[in-house]
Amino acid sequence: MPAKSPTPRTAVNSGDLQAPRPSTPRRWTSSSLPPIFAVSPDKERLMLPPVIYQSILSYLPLGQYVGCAEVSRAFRQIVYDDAGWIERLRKMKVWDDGAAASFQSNEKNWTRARAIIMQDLASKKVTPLNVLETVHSIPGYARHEFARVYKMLAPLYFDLTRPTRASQFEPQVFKIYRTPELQALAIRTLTQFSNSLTGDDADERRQRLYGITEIFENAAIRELEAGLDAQDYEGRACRYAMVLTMLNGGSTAVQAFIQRSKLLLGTVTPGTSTCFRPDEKSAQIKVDLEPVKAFLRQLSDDIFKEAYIIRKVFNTKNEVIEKATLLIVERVIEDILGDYCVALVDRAHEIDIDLYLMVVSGTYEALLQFAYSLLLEDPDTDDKALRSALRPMHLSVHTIIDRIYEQHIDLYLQEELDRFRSKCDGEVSRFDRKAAQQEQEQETILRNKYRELAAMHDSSAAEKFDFLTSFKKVLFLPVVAIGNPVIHVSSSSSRASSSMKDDASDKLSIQTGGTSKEPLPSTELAANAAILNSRLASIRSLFSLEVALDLIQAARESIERTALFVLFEGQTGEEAKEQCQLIFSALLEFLGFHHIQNGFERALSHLTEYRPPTTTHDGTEGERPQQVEPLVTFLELVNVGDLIQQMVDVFYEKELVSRKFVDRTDFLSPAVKDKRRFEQMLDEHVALGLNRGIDVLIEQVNYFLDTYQRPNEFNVNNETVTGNMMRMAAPIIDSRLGPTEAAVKVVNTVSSHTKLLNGNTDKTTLDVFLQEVGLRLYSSIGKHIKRQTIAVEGGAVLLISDLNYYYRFVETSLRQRPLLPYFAALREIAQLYLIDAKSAREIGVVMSEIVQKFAGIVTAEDVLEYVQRRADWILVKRDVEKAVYGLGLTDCIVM
Amino acid sequence: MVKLTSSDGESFDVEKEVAERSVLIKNMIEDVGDASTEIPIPNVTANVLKKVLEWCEHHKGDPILANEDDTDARKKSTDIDEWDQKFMQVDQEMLFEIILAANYLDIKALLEVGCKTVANMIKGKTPEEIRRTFNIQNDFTPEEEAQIRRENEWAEDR
Repeated sequence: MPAKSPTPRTAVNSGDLQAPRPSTPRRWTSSSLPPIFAVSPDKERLMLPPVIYQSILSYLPLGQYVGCAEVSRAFRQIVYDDAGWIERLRKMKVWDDGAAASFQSNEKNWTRARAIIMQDLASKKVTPLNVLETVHSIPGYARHEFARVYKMLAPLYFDLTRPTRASQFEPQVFKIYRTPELQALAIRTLTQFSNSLTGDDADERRQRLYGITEIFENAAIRELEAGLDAQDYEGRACRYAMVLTMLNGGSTAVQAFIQRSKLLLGTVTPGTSTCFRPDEKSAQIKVDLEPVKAFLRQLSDDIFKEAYIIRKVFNTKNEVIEKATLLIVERVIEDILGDYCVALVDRAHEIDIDLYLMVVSGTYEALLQFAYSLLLEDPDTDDKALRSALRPMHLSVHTIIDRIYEQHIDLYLQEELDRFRSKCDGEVSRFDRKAAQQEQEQETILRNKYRELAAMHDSSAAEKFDFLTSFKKVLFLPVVAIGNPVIHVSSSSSRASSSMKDDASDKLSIQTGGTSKEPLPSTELAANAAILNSRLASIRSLFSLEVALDLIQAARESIERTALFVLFEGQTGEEAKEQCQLIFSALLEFLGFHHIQNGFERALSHLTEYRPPTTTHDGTEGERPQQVEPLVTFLELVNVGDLIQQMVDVFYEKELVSRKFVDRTDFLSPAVKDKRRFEQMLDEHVALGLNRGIDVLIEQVNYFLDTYQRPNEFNVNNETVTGNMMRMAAPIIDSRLGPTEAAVKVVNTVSSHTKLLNGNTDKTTLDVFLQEVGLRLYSSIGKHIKRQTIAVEGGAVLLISDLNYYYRFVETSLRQRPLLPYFAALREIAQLYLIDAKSAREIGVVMSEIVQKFAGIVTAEDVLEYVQRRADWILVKRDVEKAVYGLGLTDCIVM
Repeated sequence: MVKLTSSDGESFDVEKEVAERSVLIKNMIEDVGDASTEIPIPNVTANVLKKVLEWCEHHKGDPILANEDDTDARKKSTDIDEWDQKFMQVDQEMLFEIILAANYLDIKALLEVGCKTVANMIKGKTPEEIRRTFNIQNDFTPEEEAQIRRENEWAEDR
């Protein structure tokens, strides 16, 4: 900031601007301020920042601006300063900052470069038309360069833009340049030049130049149009396209071309009615997008033809060709296809939501395919220009397509989710209603099937695997919404999988009804589903695999359709992704929390309410079934739950994770959360059911023990037994090989139920379950023994064979190592009954051995209780007790 | 309200909107975060600041001229609206001070009006008339003058 130190010098009277009196100079006083153009004490520079003077002078017309250099050295410095001239050159768009900077960086280069440039200029013939191209961006040289340009162009410019012109006088510039090409170039050059001029009349002159340009342009456009109309693409049209391109870069020429384009004017869409036709048989409305696709194919060909014309007409510059081509494509998509697709979508919306969902995604996909088809290499129409135009512009084409769908996307996403939810809801509740009905009707029929079930179950893991494999295969088939005509069935219950792609669609027809009407399945999945289904008859009233498949299929369709819109830019794309997650969550909600959970809960309540029939209806002692029906049902359900979970898992991986719609590690994502919740729910129900199942199973065990263990079966030598009984029991005793009927029944029932779980349940859950079953079985057997009376002769052997039988069962069937000691202990306890009354002291020894060997499993009190069940206990009591006390087992005494 | 203090210690209470015509003051208020603090304007005397604030008051509703993009439109003409013309009818010293202050306070529109006013004073005058108007000494030798004229022949008006 210049100091305000007053420099004693002459100045005008301060208040006297209008009538300056320079002749009467006045001395500055120390209090007065310096005038605007005061110079510093060294008289070299002015007091205000140079930018301000630059700005003041820039309001002057060029002539006076330059003239100001004569006022004083300080003025000359401002006027000659590079900054003002560089600014003017910039306005002509001929100053290159980068080039200028490179000169400044190295002084030696600078002098040499200038020499080279001067030489270059000398060797060239500089004309008004090329003078702008010869401008060099050399710092310190801007004024010189501007002057060179000015000298060339100013005469032509001021002549052309003269305020009043007698019409008969042709402007000089048009006299010098006779062809339209040269005239276009001259006008363009002068327009550039005019931007650098300042002063009050500069604007008016520019306006006049614009007017002249417009007249010239219109004339050229008329010529171009005439050329296009005459299809004289390579002659007249091409020539005037070039003239226009030289005039202003070609945008008006492209506009003119597009306005005349037969493609845009002449293309007629097939109309909406062709796509919606009532089906003759069912009178339902079908949507058929084939006309749309055919139309798009035709349009694609037409665009290639048009591109060929464009290349002929605009053969000058590639960028103009590209621009024109892109514009044509844009207009085709926007004006023709956009309106058409929107009309289709609107019509579909009027008819039906399912139809709407299909049409929105179908047309969107068709448009994307259409845009993409223009990019594909095609040997027949090897139109490089079109492709090179579109390739970098593909994104912008995509944006146009997105813009068309923007207005629909929100509604669409919402409808898709709503429709899916209501579809799920419908399926699930329809099933629930039917199940409730069937429950009563089929109870009796189904009961008979239970018996067969357990036997068939060994192969279930393999079958499940087959089913999952084919499920995966089907899942990986592409869903194409516009693949083939999609039949719309308004009351559809069997429609669920109908829009599976092509071949799969009609074959894979899993119906939600009973098995009676099911057609012969022809695909692997259907076949496997059918096999599994026949197996799962027992749980038909609780749960349906078809419903699950239907829901998953519907979810897949919805997600596939929605996934198209993930390509949308920005917010909408994100919303589409989110929508996919929501659809998945909805699937879990209906499949898991409505369908499966309901099934589990009903099965659980059956289990809880289960009371084993002690007698048959006619009051006589009846054959109690081996199977506990509700438990079998429940275990089946565990099986299926596991299957569903695997299906959901496959689905989740394939549809969401592999497409990056969901980040597996994102614990906040609703899909991840819901999936975890779903798995938890399954686990909880399985655990709950197993818990209850154990009770029921053990109740069954107790029942068998009570019912089928004949009284005194282990006490055959007792004389109180009637002769009849003896005779009846004789064959059993004689055989001496097998276990008693009660033991066989117990083992069978436990075995058949636990087998149901093998391979279907989580290993740890299964282990816990089996161990619990084993322990409970152990205590049941223990209690049972304590209720018996066992004779050394005959009875003891029978008991040992029973207990061996249990042990073998636990060892080979349950395969739970921790259980073995318990059953081994039982086996040892049986020894107590085998020892002859004469060696009563031996009994005491064995007792203490058992207590030592199975510490923590069998207590001394237990052993004492067991030994008391000897038929001859009264006789041996003293000796045994003596032996026990004698051995110092004081702690062995009960209280 | 914002309190501004001139270099000679005089305080002015100004509406925030008025004071913020100055980009400098606007930025200071934003930096301080509290409009109630006193803002010293060390480079501007009371009589000039008063004048500048008068202009700001009259133009407080104007859209702020943001950047260089607008300059093209403005440069096309040296027209000044009537109020500004009257406002600028001051002696050269004051004009100088206003331009200086507008530049310092970063009030683009005022600086522009000042520049236009000066440009209008120059317009149409010969170098000799310009010297007389602004009391500038001709520090060229006659030879130098002749050379400058030769150098600038190309730009003579047509």
